[in-house]
Amino acid sequence: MFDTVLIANRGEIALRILRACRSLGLKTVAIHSEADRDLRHVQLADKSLCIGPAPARDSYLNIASILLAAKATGAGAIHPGYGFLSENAGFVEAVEKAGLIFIGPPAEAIRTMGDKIAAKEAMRAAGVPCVPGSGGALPDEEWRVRHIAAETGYPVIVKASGGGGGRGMRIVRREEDLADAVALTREEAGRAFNNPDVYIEMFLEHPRHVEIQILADNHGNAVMLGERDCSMQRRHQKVIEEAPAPGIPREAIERVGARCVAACKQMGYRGAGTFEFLYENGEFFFIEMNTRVQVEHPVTEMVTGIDIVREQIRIAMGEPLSFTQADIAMRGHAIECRINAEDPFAFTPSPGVVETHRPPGGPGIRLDTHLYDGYEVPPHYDSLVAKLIAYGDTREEAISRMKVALAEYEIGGLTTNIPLQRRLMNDPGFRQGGFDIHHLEALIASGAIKPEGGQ
Amino acid sequence: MTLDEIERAIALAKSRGLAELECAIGQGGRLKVIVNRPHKPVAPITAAARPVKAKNAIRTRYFGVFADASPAIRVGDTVTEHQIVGFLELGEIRFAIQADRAGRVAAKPVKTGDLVGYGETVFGFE
Repeated sequence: MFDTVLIANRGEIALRILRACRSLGLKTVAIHSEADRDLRHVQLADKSLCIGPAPARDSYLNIASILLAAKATGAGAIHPGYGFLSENAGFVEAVEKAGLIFIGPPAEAIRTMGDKIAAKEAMRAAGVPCVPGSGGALPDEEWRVRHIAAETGYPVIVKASGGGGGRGMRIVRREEDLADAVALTREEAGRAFNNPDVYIEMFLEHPRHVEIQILADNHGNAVMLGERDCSMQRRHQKVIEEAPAPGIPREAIERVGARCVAACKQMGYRGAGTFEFLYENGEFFFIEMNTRVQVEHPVTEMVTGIDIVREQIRIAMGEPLSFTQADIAMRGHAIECRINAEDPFAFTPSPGVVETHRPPGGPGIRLDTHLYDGYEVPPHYDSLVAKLIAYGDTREEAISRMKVALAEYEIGGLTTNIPLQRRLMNDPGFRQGGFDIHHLEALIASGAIKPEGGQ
Repeated sequence: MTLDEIERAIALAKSRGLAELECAIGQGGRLKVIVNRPHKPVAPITAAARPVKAKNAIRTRYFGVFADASPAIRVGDTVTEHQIVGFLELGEIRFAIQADRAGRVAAKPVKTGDLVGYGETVFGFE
């Protein structure tokens, strides 16, 4: 058992983890880079230690340094947050070899889910619906590839097995373009992911992004915490997330959720995890599993009342889940707006000093952020600086509370995407709900999203 | 290699916009051509933009538990360049901390047993 948790992350999620540790009476160690001395959780942690210079590879991605820091500070467990080393199976093995506890799934599960073909095979075996396609890596012979694509039906998408997050994929609409697309994707995948395997899937034209949150303990229990709709995206980066997903029948969610729970039990999964699906014409198609806590976990927390990060830590302590599937009910509606330090319309990163931080408040408003007056957002890392969450009995109420909160939220001195989020709250497509993952990019392309003053 | 060949190499580097061209000639010989381009005017560095180089202190290049050198360096002592002024210990690993310049120690914010982070000041100079 452990009484001290080392937080191997930065920014808002590091602060979120620190709060969860404190609520469990655990001590915290903040490790950080030289650029992050002024982070809020570094100030609040029981112990803090600068482990290297600003570049992530010398600090947040340096496995040896993190393990040595854990030893030096007496930490018994490591919470990886999201990003950085959170889905690195080699890191998990190194943590366990050092006699420490990794707050997350077993290395084996991370490894399986990191390989897109292996992940799909595991999902199919557990009865989770997948996009029709080649199933495994494509054969070398061109005629066989042509046959598979024809069976799948055009348009198809060629994807790298080692890819993900929108990298290493190519859409093919006609058979004559197939051979070139496969060869090109193979070559890129070999270079970028060190794995030249590619596969084919049916390409969905207007899918929504709907994901299922699960929690599993070490005692054979796994529970589904409902879904999130994360269809508001730009270049595969989520911009707004909400729970529940508007307009999808509960029975459909429960059916696919039960499959996810079964898959977790089958692979001996442990901790928090998310099954990502494309949803089109009433059908779910598995795309990938994220074996970590997600940025957008708060919307699920708001509608279920479950503290996901706290549960992650309790599971790592060996405790059973404190609730069963029957205890989980989704109540109300929650929306999260990601606040990034970036130009709201050009989307270029915009680090700098926060002169004044005036957070919004009121009923149903939650703000997860590490910002404070005088804090300087360094240029080295992700541009996410805050997550503004609005809860309401209905989706309409959540939107109206979000509008008030966005109007109130003032981050003086820093360029953020708050103006974009204000626009999106008034977008008819968003207000109606149920839009597809291309909605935001189509809005941008149409010129409907413009700086203040434009129409 | 003739002068003519060298001139041709220079012309080739220039025409292709290369800053440097290196090639093997004959047996074990090498020719390196460096093309001098007109420098772009460099914007004067303002006081605020100039990187602050803390030469007035000895900073750590790793993290660990501080241990004194033997004998321990105290405030008022003079150290020479490259002198080992202390150690950082991490389990079985021990890193030596060296003075990057000579000087008289005016401050010593750490003591043996302290956990010291990367980039922290362990000795300040006068």
